[in-house]
Amino acid sequence: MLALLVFGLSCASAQAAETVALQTSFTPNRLGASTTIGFGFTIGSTTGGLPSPLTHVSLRMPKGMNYVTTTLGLSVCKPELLSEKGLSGCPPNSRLGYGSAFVEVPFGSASGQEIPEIQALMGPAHEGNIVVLFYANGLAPVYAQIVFAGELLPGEGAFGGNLDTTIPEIKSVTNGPPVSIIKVKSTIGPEHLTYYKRVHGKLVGYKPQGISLPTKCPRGGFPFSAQFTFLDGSQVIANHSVPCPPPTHKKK
Amino acid sequence: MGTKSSRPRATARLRISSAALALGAVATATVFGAGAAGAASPHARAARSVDLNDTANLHLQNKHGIELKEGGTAKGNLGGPLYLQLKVTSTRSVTANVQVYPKGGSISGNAKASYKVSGSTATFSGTLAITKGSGTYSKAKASALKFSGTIQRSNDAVTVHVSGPMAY
Repeated sequence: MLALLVFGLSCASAQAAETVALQTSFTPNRLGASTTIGFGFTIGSTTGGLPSPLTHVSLRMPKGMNYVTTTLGLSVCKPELLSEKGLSGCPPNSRLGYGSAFVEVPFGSASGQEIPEIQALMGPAHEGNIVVLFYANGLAPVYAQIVFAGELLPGEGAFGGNLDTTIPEIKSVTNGPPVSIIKVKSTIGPEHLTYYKRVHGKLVGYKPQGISLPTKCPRGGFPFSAQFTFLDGSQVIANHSVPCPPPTHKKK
Repeated sequence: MGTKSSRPRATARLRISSAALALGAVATATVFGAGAAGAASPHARAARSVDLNDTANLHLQNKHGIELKEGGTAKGNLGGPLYLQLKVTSTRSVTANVQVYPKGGSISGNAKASYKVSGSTATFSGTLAITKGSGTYSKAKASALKFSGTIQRSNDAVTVHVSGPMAY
């Protein structure tokens, strides 16, 4: 899988521009099958310094994905409970995926780094759209738990859905500069998730059904495209395609 | 539940004697505004209408790609086996084909609906147009029936509701 690297369209050409590499995957990558969508991005700067803090990501996903028959997110997690109690405030059947992030925390002349855990959960629908809540749990050097939401909007053209996510400004310290996100990877899908249902009065664990892949693969693979917006106002578009799976030969 | 009605007319099962038919076949066809097929029939009837208010509880029969195939029994004025193919067209919309087999015929229709997920259930709401009928319902016609329903996301069981006037 080759990630396309696209340079930022900075307002002032003399300024540093952000660069983004997008990576996406399906596990398993099998036509018509329930899958786990993996997505990740790495942000850099043309000057080699810290990139401007990320404020918004719009991740466009391929057409023909079956968002309707998935059993992911059978329960809803309330954002206020997630903020207050963390993951324990939400039912297990609201989990959609998980991941991690790598951020640079500008402390004085030096900068710290941390890898907070990210959880994706089903939030209350907004105007009929599916809402994905992201819970970032940072422990050191900045102790912070952040909840932010992505809304699954209908896609256009080659894209069937658009996960539109606004990222809040994360202060390193009170009145300090915001942290810069360098790398994020997350999943949406049943991989490593366990849901629970009652069978004869007992709670039984099971794997939920993921979003299903289309039964046909478009020429060139399944296209993803993401638009990144930064605090300095610059925007970067990065594209990536998941290759078509090899054809399966049926036994005669 | 809906109500069935018939428009009064000279159309209601008018019997024409064979002699009269022989003498005035052309005139009869003109009076009834019918073509060759209409003229050949000794019977004519007025369009009837029924106010649908039918509900069906359906279970998943087959799932293929972005399509759910559901089956069950409709209850209401057009009670009988009902089949629904629900196709996802975007994160917020679905299309559907519906076939119902009431006593004496069948009716098919296409629907477009908006779709939204709310935890363990998803709902859809839109309109249904009748496209085809057979038997008693061979002239079934309706263009904007209300079409709505709920999907239990854990097992894809669907409850579908159709309401509005249909001529046949």
